[in-house]
Amino acid sequence: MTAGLVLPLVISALMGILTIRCAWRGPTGLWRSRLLAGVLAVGIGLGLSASVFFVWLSLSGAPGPMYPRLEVAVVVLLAGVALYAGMMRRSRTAGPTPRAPTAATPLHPLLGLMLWLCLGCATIVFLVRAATSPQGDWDAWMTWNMHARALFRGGDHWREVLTALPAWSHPDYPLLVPGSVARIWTYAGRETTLAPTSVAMLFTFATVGLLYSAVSVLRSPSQGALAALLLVGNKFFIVHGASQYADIPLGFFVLATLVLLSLPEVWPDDRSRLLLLAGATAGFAAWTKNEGLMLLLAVLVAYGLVVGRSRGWRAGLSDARAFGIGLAPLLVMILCFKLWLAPPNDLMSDHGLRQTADRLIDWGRYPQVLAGFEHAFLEVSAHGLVALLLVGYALCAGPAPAGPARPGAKIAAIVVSLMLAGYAAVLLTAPAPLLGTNLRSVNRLLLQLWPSMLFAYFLSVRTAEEAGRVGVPTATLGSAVPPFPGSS
Amino acid sequence: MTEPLRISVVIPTYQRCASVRRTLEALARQTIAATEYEVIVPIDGSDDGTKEMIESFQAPYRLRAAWQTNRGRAAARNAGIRMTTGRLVVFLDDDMEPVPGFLLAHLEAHPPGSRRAVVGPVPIPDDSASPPIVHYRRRSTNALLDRLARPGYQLGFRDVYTGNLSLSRDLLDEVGGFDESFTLYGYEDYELALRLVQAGVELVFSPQPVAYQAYDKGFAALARDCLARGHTAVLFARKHPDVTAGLKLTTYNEGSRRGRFARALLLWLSRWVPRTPEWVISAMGWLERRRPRRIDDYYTLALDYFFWLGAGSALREPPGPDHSRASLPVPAFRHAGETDGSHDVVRMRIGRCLLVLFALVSSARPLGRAFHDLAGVSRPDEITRYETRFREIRKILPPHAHVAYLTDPTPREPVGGDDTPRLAFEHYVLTQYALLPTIVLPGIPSALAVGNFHSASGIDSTATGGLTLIRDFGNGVMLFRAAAE
Repeated sequence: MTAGLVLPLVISALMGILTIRCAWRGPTGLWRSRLLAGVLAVGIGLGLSASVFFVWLSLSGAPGPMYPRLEVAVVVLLAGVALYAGMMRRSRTAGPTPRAPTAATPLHPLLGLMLWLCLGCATIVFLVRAATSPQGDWDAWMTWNMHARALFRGGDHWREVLTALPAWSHPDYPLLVPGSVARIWTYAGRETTLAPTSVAMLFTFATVGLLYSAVSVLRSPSQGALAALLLVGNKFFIVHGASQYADIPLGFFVLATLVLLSLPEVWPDDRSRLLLLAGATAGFAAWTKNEGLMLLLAVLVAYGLVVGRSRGWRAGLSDARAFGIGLAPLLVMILCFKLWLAPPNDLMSDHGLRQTADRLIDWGRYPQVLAGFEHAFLEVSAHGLVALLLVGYALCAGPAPAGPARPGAKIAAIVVSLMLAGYAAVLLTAPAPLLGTNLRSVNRLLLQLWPSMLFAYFLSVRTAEEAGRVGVPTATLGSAVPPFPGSS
Repeated sequence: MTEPLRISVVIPTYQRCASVRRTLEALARQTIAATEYEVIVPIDGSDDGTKEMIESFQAPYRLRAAWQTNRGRAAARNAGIRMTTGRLVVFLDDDMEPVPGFLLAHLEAHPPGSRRAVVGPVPIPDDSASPPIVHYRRRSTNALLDRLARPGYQLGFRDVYTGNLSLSRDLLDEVGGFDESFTLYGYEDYELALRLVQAGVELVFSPQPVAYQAYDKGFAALARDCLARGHTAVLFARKHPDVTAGLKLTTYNEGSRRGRFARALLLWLSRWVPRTPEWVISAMGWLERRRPRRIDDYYTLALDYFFWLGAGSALREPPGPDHSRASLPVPAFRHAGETDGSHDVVRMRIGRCLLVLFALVSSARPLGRAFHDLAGVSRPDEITRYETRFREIRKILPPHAHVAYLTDPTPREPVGGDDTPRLAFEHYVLTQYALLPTIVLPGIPSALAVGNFHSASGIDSTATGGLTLIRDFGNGVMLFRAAAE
């Protein structure tokens, strides 16, 4: 039983690690960078293994005893590619692996202690919640675990079972989370609530680890610890993680995409490979929830605005190609699922041009949607207290000086803004009976973006280390002051 | 034997070829003999043809130019001073047009044996066709000149400007000329004047040697000057921390409340949005085109903002080796958001403590509830308990089949749809969850029907009308068959 649970997780972790090693030379020596690679590997591994599971289901029906051998073969293949990629890189590049800019700054011990304390509290809350509700909360079991059961119990007829599920179960929803759970059940040979709990726990705490390590690498360890503290200290986040909502895995993949889009500024040699990984994580986001499809659009716009403008459209196209290569296989899989398997989405089924226009000019909807967002915001931000503290802290700290994190911060901010605008647009044009239901779940839409909001925020504000350093360069004046502007 | 020169005129210049030419032409119309003075033009890195213009200029007086790479006004003037041969040195800016008696008036302002530095007026001529910025500058310059010309007014070092200034070469040598560390615009004249005062030199204003300013700067150039003056004000304060009282640098909290608020807002915005200065310049350009009644107030506010922006930037830069940051007496400015590093660190520490405290409290608060819930961990959860009722029926239901769903007609409403009470809907969803891969559909005629009732005793015949009970699994779970079969 335990082996049946641990083995699939180990295999998916191996898949993630080897995928990362194939694509990214990665840092050496610095444990924060290793942590970053590790937590990315957790998410990518779960996404990859769920995708392989779905492809197997689609092509061969119910996975039998052969299935674990296939995954082992995938691991061996990835190991071979990683080995080859490593050898190629060693022969191409001379000199030491570039290190992240924050290599020399240690994490303040007290801040580290606080982080561990909060992590301890969050783990207890998570575990108790998971033990008292092992099937997850209402939306989790009626959608995600229901779909996992359809995949697992359906056997060779999983398609018929999944598509026959009533509309309230949303059979059109993507299958990363149900696939991950059903895959573990396949290994275990039976259904166990430990499977969805493990998946939920991995995604929840990997998100915290990802936020900490990414902000640490891009800005400073103290900054990373603050970001992680605010995430782990958010009861709404931990409780929803333990409740097995797919919003947390989606939040992980949104954050992972933004992190991977920011990393090329730190490791420019691995630019295209990091973008390839970013394409993959964006694909996993779209394979987790329909909102992930919006991420693809938002990333395209944000990346074009920030990087396309600064590096030129040729470089932008080259980046887009790398991103597209990572995304393409998953996009094909999602399209196949949407076109040939999933029934039409209830939000999109009633979307004629006329109806959409009518709803858009229904001015009564705007205050409703606004109120929904306000209510959700207050819920996610502890009655606005977090927002208040963050604004206050930003006023104290000031903006971050120009550095490798700036493009990433811009991309993250634009992506988050576009996704919020997209969510609002979907709500505004939703069919009337669904508007009320959807407004109640706006809090979870914000939750999906909460880690990314913190990421953008902590990339944008000055670190404590920078504030203590005398002579912070100010971009404001540098070129604005002429050396000798003439007479008085 | 030729008579020794009495006056050397030094005109530092940068990229203002046409303007310098006008100044040189005006100097050719002086009332004293051309053999009595020379003109030296130190060119501070100009590449606009100033050098060629001077080489071809037909001057009645001795004219020389010296070109140097761009090092700032102080260094250019010192280069000019080193080339002078006259006893009296007159400094002129490159946009001045001195009146014909200009040099004679400077000569007469220095009686034999005096130790004086003489400042002359630099009025801006009134021209109604000029842009509003010129009017603004004219009004402020005239106000300054009125103050200097007031009978009995004692000049201080802050009243000295080098656009029209004369003093003996010996005095310049005595104090060591200009301080060349002032590479940006502004405050190099105050700095020289201060050292002159400390050397016992008398500062005098003379209304006779008039040099008119041909003011041709736009707002953007003036804004850049103010930005540079903010920088050099800090440099001055670092060099002379004991004489900063009365300097602009110590007046941050002065002025109208609204003006200070607007300035603080702009300074704060500048920290976040590096393009704020450009936006302010654009906004002023827009206002200039509309010429509102209170344009002078807007000029004052915007130029004040640029000064403090420059000062703020300089405060964040490391002081030079001989200047102590701690000795910089600009406490008022530190209240305004543009602080030095130590203040930022303290405020950030407070901010960080608040964030950590919040995270700690937020993490710890749910622990109470968690420990309370811990007592119920040993019991199966609600959904698992509910599912247990369906264990037996699931074994005999054909997989992948569609079956109908029956439940109590009262008090529950028909299931499905938004008007269904949530409880009834939950029962139906839980039934479907338990019975997968069999699909349970309410109200759809099927060969088989699953009944999920409160209890066996509560079954109403209207709910099962036309169906035959196959098996009762207890706890209200039953399997029915359609009557036709």
